[in-house]
Amino acid sequence: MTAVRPAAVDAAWRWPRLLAIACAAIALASCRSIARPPLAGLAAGAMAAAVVTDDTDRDTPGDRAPGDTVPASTSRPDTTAPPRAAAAPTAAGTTVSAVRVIDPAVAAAGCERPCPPLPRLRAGGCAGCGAAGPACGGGGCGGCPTEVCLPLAAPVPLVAPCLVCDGGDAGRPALPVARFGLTNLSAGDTVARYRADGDGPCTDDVHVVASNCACVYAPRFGSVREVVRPHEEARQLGPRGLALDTSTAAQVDLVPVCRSTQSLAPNAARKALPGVALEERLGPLAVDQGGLPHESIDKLGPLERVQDDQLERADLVQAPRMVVGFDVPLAWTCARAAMVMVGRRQAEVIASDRGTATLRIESPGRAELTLCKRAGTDTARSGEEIDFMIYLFNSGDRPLADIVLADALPARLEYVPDSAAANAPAAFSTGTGDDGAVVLTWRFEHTFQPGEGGFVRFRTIVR
Amino acid sequence: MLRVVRDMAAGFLLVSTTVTGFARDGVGRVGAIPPSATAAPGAIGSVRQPQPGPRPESFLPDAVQPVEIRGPEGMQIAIETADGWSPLRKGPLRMGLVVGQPYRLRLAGLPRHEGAELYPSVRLLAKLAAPPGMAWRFPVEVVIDDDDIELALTGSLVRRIVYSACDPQLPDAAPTASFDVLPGGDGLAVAATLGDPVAELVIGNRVPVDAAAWAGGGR
Repeated sequence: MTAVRPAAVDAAWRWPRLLAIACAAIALASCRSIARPPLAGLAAGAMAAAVVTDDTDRDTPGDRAPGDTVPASTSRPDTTAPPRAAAAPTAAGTTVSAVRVIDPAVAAAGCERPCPPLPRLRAGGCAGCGAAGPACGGGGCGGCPTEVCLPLAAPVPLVAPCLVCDGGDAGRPALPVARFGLTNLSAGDTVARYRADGDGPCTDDVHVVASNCACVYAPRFGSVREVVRPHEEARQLGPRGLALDTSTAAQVDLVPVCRSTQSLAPNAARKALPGVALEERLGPLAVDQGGLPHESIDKLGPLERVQDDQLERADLVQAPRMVVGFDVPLAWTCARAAMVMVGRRQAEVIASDRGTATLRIESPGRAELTLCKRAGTDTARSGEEIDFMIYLFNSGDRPLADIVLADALPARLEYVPDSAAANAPAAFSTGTGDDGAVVLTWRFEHTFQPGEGGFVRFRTIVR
Repeated sequence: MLRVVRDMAAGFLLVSTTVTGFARDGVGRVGAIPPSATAAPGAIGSVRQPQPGPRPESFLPDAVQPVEIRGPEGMQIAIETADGWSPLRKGPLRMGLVVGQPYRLRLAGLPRHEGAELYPSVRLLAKLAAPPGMAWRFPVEVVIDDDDIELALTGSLVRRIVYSACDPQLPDAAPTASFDVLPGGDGLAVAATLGDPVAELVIGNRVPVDAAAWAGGGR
């Protein structure tokens, strides 16, 4: 037997049932959304009323007796509580949810505000942070800290990387001398001289190019020793256990070497110069004997006396003066032809008319050599070997001849004998630079055509 | 029929609102900034306790600098750690020390001094700027020579300042070749003129024999 509900009852429950399903769906959707659900207020209307009621009770405890309850619709708006804003007019049973109500505990913690970016970690502590972290006042922190201070130690002092560099042309620029020589070579220079095939061998036709600089990390260490010997701190005991002042004894024993040398010097000077009459008026080492006071040479003597005796006439001393004049042309001439030299090559005159000439000169092209230096490793310890390669490349338009490549090694690199090699016929030799550096020199007998390259290589030991 | 349509509409409303909520949830997660994008490198692992065993050099802390201590042939070296003394090993001993912290060493097997032991202290003053991954290849080299041991065993206090000498204009330096400062001079100040001081080694630390007399000003 089935129970048959009346149609009127079924029609009366139709719309409440639909409304219940819709509310359940909205509540479910709001719960799944984390960041400020736009429709959460609809579902939280009842809860909002409860929160406001609770807050009102706490704000005005004297108005009501404990335990009294105030319906949500009668809660008065509290203008002194900004987070709660203004209570919206509550339409019957509908949109009390339009008011965003915030728990005062949540407001005090500052968590109702949008979350700021995550704090940055800062090593070594920051100025505003003490041992207890950011200053907190009232019921919560004054604000979300923008930095989190890690309990790390002070910044570690760092020593700059120790590099051994070879290449380039530091100091005075290298210059070609003679037919195959180079001057102004200092430690670390890597240069090459060359000329275009067909140009004369004089230095005006010779070009000098420097390579890049190749650096290798190679630290080295030295040490300084400080020794305090036992007698320097020993306490000497006198009679009856009286302690003597040890500083006096130590001071006698610890006379610096330089002072002892200076104190002995006058005695040595007296012994070396026994015949000096005015011994007491001379310096300790009698070094002033060589120079005579007021020494005068030739014609400058009288002039100095004049300047010394009559200061007001010092400005009247004759001095060489520059003669300035102008050359005035006496007659004007008209050039009917022109001869122009460009790079010591005569330009061909194609046409000339009314002072304007059209010239033509054919450039033979660029004479250019490119050097590239590479170290076999980026790091090396003292005593290890480093392999260097220097690439040469004719990047110009003309053949290059008489190429001489020179590499002045830095002081920390020691050339490994018989390790130099080249892929082109070259005469290798070692020499000394202007500052005493070891210079490796390759003189190529080969003429490099445009686009042709070669290389040399050698090994060094890091000191 | 009307009831079926009505229930379908209600179900559609339920599904649509649920899907909308999930969609907002997904959008919010995509827009959030992951912590790894805003935190400093190594911030997450900085609170992790050090794990035993070998580990790559990339995890070498910033304040740790490898050190290599060498001595005469046959000399054995140990270092005092939080867990006690490490076993004695023949040099050179390579280890990572925290910059600025003093460590105590134990030297045994000293040549020509059977049974004698020394307890020097070593302290790093700075860290080397080695290329990445090369810190262990280029430790600070601290060398203890025979003369240091002889002086320490005869009661002298030896203080050795190791410096990094990079200036090519200065005279050649070598860890095995050192020079003494004038008596009363400051080795640290002298080393600072020659390079960057990186380590300090003190041999011959001792307690005064009559500590009470020293405290009383010698009376």
